Amino acid sequence: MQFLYKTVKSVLDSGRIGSPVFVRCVAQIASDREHLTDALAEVLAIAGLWLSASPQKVYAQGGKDAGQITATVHYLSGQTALVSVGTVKANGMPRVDLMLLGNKGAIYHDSLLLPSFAMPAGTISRIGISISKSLMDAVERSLQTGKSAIIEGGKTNE
Amino acid sequence: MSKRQKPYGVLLATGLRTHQENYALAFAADPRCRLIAVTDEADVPPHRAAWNRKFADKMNLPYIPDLDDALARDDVDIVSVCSEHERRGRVAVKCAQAGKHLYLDKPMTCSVADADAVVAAVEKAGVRSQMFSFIYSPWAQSAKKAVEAGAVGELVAVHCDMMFAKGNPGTAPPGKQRKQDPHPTRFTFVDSKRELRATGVYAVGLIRWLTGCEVSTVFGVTANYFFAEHAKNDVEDFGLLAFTFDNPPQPPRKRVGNITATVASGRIGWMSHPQGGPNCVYLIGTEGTLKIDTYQPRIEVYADEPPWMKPPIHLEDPMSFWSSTQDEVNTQPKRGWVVLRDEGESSNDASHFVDCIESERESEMSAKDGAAVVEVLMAGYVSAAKGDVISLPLPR
Repeated sequence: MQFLYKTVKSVLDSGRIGSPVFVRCVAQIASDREHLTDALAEVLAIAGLWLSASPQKVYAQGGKDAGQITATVHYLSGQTALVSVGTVKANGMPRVDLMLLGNKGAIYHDSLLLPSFAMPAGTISRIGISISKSLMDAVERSLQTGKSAIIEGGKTNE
Repeated sequence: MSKRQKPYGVLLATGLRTHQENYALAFAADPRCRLIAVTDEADVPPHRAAWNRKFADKMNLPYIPDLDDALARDDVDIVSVCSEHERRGRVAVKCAQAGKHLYLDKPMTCSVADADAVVAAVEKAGVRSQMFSFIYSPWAQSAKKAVEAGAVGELVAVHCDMMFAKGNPGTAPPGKQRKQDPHPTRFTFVDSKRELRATGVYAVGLIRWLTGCEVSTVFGVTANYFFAEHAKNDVEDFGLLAFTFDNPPQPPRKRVGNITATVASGRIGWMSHPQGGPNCVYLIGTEGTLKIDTYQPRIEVYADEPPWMKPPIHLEDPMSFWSSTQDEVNTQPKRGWVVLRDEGESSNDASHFVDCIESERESEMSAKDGAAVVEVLMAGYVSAAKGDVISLPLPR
């Protein structure tokens, strides 16, 4: 993920696709169901950095029992993200499908991640990315209530 | 309605600058059908009547300027209804009451009340109905087979992206959250469509058909990311939906449990995709994940030839909604991706409707299904306005 994060960021920084407005990410990267939330937190942290935006509201579905978590995130300046994380399946290869829309173009990534490109859960801080506790608290609240949840403070990095 | 002899007579309700441009050709390509005439309501505005006449001339068909007169003909079996969104429900009801089978443009109506009225008219008249969708396309059929074969185990989530790569983006005011009207009433503009409806309809219909479940809750977000035209008309160019389902009423396979689904839909600009736009579905199951894409399997072609260029803007159709206006500005197809197709596969949605009429069975995207899709989409607007999850059914 760190290579994907940096490569996408470099394209965004070049301005080729204009302002980033939407991230769709379907990722099978969690080692098991116990780490689904950790994996979601990391992808959401990366999505927030790509969008350069603070999350305002989240609606989360699924959970450990379902074997997947899907989060719909609405950011303060209008951007959105749909992130779905699941567990690595039988072939043992993590997979990340990404569509990132800018207001003048798009970035697509659609493939298995070679082990050397995958990032073990919990290591995101090594590349200088922080998990948003308030965002993940809101994800938990949404999963428990079945409703959307406001993110307190609206900050991506804490 | 009595069973008729082939060929089935097909009446075209509303013509040029609607999807009738495509549906008429689909019916004409089916040897079981014969196009009868173009028609419309007697009081349509002059520019609409002129487009209808022009379309009739193009198709070498008569134009019958009063729908009632056209429906009185006994050589009409099917009406292809492509009238503007705001009057589509009214026209469809009238056609069903005349005992004609209904082939309906998508979305079926602008409101839940209109959708209910169409369903009631269809059921009372005992006619067949079908709303245009992608469910008969080869990639959707592949997805259905995969679900039914348990290719991913028990289905736990479905995600669908349905977007059109058209228009010239980058003009919408950036950095603003859209303020959504919970009950929009105007849907027809020269230069914009409500894209949550216009493109989301395909995704919602597809997911509902794939899962065999009714949607029970809807969370929606609408946005203005790309086009000044949409922002000016207070119409979204992008929309998201997330929903949950009731369990299926009659389990054709394993109980799906807490299945969830999401939809991303919109119009994203000519140069944002190597083909027509992201059209794919992710099937997330207990045993694996499948991504089924309308552009897979494919070959990719790179050649020493001029690169694809977006067409000049047609002033009367700047978003390139219609085939005729795209032809008028000489829009060229993108040729880099060539999708593999089995020549035996038929993706003619109209022919599948004729199959249903012939075999006296309900379409898998009947008016009743179309009404359920309309309800999900309208709930999406209410959710986007209120910022919260909306339970179905909506209040009547």
